[in-house]
Amino acid sequence: MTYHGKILRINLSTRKIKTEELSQELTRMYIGGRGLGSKIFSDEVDPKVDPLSPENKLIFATGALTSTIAPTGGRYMVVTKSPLTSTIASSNSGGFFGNKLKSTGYDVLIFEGKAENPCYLYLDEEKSELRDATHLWGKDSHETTDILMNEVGEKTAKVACIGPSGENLSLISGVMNDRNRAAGRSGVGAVMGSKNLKAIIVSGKKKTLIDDKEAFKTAVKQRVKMLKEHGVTGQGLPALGTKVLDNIINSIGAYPTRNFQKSQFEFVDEVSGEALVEKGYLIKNAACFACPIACTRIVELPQGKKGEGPEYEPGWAFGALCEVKDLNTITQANFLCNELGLDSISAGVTIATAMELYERGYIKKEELEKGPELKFGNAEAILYYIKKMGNKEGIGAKLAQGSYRLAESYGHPEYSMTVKKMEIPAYDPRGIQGHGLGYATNNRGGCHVRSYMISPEVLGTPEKLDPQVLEGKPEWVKTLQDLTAVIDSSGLCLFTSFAMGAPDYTELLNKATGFNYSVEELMLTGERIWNLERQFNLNAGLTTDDDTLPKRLLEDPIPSGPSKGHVHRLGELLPHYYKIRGWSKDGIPSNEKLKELSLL
Amino acid sequence: MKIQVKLFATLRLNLGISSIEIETDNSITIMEVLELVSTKLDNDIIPELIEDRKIKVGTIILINGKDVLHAQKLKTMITEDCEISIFPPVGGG
Repeated sequence: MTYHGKILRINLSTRKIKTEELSQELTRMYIGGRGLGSKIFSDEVDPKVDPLSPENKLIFATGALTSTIAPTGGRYMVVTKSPLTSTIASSNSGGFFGNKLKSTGYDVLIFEGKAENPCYLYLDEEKSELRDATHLWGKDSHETTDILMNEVGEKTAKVACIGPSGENLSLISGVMNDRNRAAGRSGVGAVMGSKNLKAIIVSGKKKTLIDDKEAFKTAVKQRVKMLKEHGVTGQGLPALGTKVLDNIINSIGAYPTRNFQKSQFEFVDEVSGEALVEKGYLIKNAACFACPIACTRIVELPQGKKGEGPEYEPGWAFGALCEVKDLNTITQANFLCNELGLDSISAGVTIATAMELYERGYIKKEELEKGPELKFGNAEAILYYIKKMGNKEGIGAKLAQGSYRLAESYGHPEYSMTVKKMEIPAYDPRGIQGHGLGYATNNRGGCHVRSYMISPEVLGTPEKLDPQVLEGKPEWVKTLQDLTAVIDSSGLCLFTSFAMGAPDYTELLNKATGFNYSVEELMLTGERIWNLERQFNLNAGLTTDDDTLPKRLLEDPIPSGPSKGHVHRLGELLPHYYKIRGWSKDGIPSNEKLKELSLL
Repeated sequence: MKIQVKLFATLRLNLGISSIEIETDNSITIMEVLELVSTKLDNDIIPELIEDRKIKVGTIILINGKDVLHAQKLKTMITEDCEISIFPPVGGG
């Protein structure tokens, strides 16, 4: 039994904090992390709530395997209603905060209301206190972490916080932990900012109990071996991190360039993962809690600035998508996003949108207030406008609203490359059809990690699928969506799935929790979580019209390269996807399906 | 004909080169290309990419951006002016 069975409810308006019991039935039905957090959230919050109002809640949920020796077992999930997408949001992060949060003896934190003044939560096994954070307001995520660590004086404590962008209610701000790790997507940082909650600092040594310790140890040992011996998790990711993908996605012609106007970047060699090594920026790799993969990049730039990253996504967003070929600037852009607490994917895509709007004459030069021109390829503009965005200054106030609202404010939302108003990541769906269906149907909008079809359609794991063939893709997308919900709820990293499959997660969960799931029951649990999120979104007012892609990707063929001539064929995929999900033609889950999943 | 072969990821970092040109009189298969590259490099790259005469899971071999797994696999013939890209098992983002 890996759960402490305790929820901490913190009412920021009344400053009342109370401990509640976490029911075992709920944990078996929803595992933990994303599933458990989403269940609690949807039971307690009106789907039509204004995301930035005190009535919205903010949940931090640990997974069933968080704070165990399971490979990558250190993650936590932030669940709330997103101010960016108006959908249910769950944004997760690695590092060491998740482990320490669970070591306080609590599985879940629920924040309600709004504090009168900036505050932070101190939490350990003995006490929970809301403390004044006025002195932290305006500080970036690194400064905040350093000040709090000094103030609290406990070397093993861990901090999660927002940067200035979250305070400024930027819709593309995240929650940062361990300085550079981010629960980055869906604007969860703005919700934290709206509650005047600057940070959470956790300390504790409470051990997570394991149902069958010896069997769990053996199961973990086997999975660590699998991860070490797999080409992706044992070699590719440790050596090159996620940026190993730049060259491959570019080579197949699915590397979005110039705000998705092209799908290959001629200067990819200047900005790729290989370049990060060859230019000497990479010092070493590092690992999150209990992770045998170690994909984190620790880098130092020639001018002496040290930090983490960039990962594939921000490297691409500030690079190819903005046609910037200076890896030094791109790396600095990543550092800045971490400090300001910005979602680096959304920030890069938003700047690319602004560049297209500027070059088309919709954003006027006067609006830039003598700042650098927002032209594709202008490296100087990247750093300048990230700062403006994070601090909401000048045109930065518009940028801070994300790509969709920016383009809409100029009357041209078609130049925003978003799904459900969230910025699409680094794979052009016109070149990878199944992955595009994943974007369109994703419960949190334009996101690549809820059904990572790149694995089968590009990387060939667990088997190679032709990226342009439609047959079988809806089934694959559904399976990966359900499996990912299980992984996210277990508190493990999605990267384990390069080497591990559903039976592996089932065994780890069973030995640790004693729940004795069958593989089928666990996959059904993933499906339950997916449908619970879907129901919330439908009740929030989303419809089948929101399960779509930008017009550019549906109508404008890729102009050149290996994917030349292709558009995304969503219309041929979506009806079948709804059918196999047991949903109506309008994307509404049938009563039979809801009963099967115990949601009705 | 002359063929440009681009090497990526750990292959590129370990060998310290990003591309190599090979020359052949006849039209050859991609497997023969790998053998020629290994000979020219005096370094057998095949075990990193191929196991039991099959392309390893995660290895990517592209001819003009198209994966040979969707053509004739290791027997895929190469043509003049084609560009070959080789990735050992890599990772995700």
